[in-house]
Amino acid sequence: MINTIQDNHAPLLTVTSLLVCISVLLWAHDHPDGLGLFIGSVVLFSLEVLHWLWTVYQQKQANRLSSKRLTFGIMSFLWVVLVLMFAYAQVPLFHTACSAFGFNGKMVKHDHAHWSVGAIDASRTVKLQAFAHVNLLAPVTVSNKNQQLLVNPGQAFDLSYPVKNTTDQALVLRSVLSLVPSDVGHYLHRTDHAAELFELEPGEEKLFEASFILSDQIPKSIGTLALQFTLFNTEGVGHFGSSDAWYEIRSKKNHGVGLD
Amino acid sequence: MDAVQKTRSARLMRWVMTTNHKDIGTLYLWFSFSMFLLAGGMALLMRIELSMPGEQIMQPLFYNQLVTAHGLVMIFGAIMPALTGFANWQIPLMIGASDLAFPRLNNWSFWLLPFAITLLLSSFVVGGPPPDFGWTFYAPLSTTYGPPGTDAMILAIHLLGISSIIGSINIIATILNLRAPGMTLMNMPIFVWGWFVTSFLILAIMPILAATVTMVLTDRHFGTSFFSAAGGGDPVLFQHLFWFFGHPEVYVLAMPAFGIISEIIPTFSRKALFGANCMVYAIIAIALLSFIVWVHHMFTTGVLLVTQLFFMYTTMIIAVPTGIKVFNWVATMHRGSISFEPAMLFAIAFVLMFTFGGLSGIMLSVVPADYQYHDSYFVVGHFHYVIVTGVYYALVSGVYYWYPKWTGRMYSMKLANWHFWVTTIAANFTFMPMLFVGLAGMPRRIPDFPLEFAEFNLIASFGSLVFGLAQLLFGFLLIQGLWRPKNVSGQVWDGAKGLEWTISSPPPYHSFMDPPKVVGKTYQ
Repeated sequence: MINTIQDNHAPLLTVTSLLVCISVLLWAHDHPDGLGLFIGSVVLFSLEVLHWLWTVYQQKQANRLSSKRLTFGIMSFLWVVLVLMFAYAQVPLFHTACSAFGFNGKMVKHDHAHWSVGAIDASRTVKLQAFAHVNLLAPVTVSNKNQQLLVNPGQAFDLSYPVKNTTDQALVLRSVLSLVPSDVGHYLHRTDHAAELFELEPGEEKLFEASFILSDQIPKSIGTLALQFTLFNTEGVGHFGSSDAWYEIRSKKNHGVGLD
Repeated sequence: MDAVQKTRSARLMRWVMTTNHKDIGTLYLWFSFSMFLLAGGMALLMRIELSMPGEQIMQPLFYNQLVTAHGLVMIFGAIMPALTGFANWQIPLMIGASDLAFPRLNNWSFWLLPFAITLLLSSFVVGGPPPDFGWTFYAPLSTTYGPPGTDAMILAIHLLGISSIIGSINIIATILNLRAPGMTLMNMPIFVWGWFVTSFLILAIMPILAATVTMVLTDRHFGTSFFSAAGGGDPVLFQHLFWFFGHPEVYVLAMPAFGIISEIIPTFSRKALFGANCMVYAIIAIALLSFIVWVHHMFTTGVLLVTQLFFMYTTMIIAVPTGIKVFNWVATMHRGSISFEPAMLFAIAFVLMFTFGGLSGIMLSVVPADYQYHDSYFVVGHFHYVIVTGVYYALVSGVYYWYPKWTGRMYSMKLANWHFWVTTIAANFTFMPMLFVGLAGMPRRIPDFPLEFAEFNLIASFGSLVFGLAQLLFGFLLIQGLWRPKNVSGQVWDGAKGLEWTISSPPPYHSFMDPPKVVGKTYQ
């Protein structure tokens, strides 16, 4: 006896889920009917799922499916949804943890009212190596990229980099600050309140400036700290997947545009 | 003619529509073996490229595409489906159930796989270039710099994830609901325990992977910036999410393999498994610990010193329950009446070489040492010892153990012994030199290398070709076995214990329609 069952929905579920995948591909690659095909295939898939659930309901009514198994199936589905939500919750949690504890080489967000600086400790100095790095896709040049300062704990210091827009279009850059050693974020305080975004008119050259105070509480074991600003182009974010964009990016990579 | 065609189409439809766990198990096993040969072929092409310094047979970009496809197909198309094939065949037989709890879902779970792998590899033919950033698809390599074929890979991973999740739900529901009377949880075979815990792991990590690849997709096309620093996101977050999935995934592969070995060693030692309850606790401990070690993949990303220390110690602690398992396997063999059938040979080799692979993992867990080994061929050698001479050996061992039960026929012992010795010698010739060149500083994922690494790479390439040929021999002897006489008894191996050995070989199409009564400790 062959155990094939008339109400086996698996083949149709397989085909419709594959249709959904293909329609997402078309939509993502800007096919003119991509969105329509996606909606259509999702409807088909949903109908098949509903049809399947109807069969399950009928089996339950006919006492061919135990409540225990059905409950387990439903609980498992809810669990999967919960874990999916957990994964998305990691996005804000990660950024909060970075700014709260200085994970990932980030600045710790100090409560300004409670972050006090003591007297300048002239008895020791910390070597501060400051770098500016231009991301591959940012069409700008930066001068005076590598700077080195000797700073006393408790002392304020400024960094500035002339940044030039090499295109004939306005640019919005994002500066991302990274620190090494990665726990040094507890002992630095940024005082310039500058926004992360930095705007440049076509061909414009402008100073990118940042001001800090180094805490007098910095441990004696930290004799050198490195601080790097990376400048990213915010243009085109979220639209990297098409063939054209890929070839453009690859050609930039191969010809070293943005690297110097 | 019509009648013949009708019969043929009925035969075909049997495999498409079947909800029988044995049929679906067979489908899983043959599918996974064909994927193993496909991804293995990719590995051989890579080894030919690496046999000598300089460009040999392919462009660097194609090499990177092969690296990516090899990893993804091996993990999601070969090893995981093979383990699920074992679960399909064995779990109902071992717990005295007539089938899995959700047979239709079982059918869906399998049939998603061929389509998913086709989608995964489709960009080699259409919609490419295919992905070229390794199976870990780190952002921004897969987002900003990812080729168009990345999208097909993402959707294929969704389908593979759905397949794994459904399979796991099915296995848990089966174990919880369909055990024969008297088959208590602690009386279950260790293979069933391995899969039971693995299924929970899959339910906990596969949705994380699904969410991560969805974030990659929306970063690429729909304006989000989860992993794009330019948009306010962070690529390091990708690594955290990926390895929160990725490290337990290693144990998803390993724990059913541990289960297979725990069945085979007692059989051919003619002794009960030493410390069977401890084996169960060790599996649970490994599963729990696997969730708090993921940052050891990221020591060089600038994590805090205290974080590095925490994850270094948790990683080292995993060696304790794993060590218990190894100790128990050895203690089971101690003073046993051992015979060296091919299944046992592979199981003993598993214990030796998996331990070797695991110890190289302990080396990697030490933070300052990891700074040296990170992204080197040492890592490649390490995980191939764990996956090939570990998990793959367990799978082969399991096939040699249960093949007579599944088919009612005995394969050629002579060829199987040849398979073992050639495979084992070749595997060490392949992977040992990788450890050496890695320690000497050869980076991974490169199609070319400096002259000083030439000799060891040539040895590894030669070893891999012999290894590949030995696996063709394995395929041949399995097919040849199907033409051998059907004369195997139900018990097959004199030392084997458990419900599956109480029924005929091959078992009836519908076995245990009336649940058997289990009395006492069946397996111990």
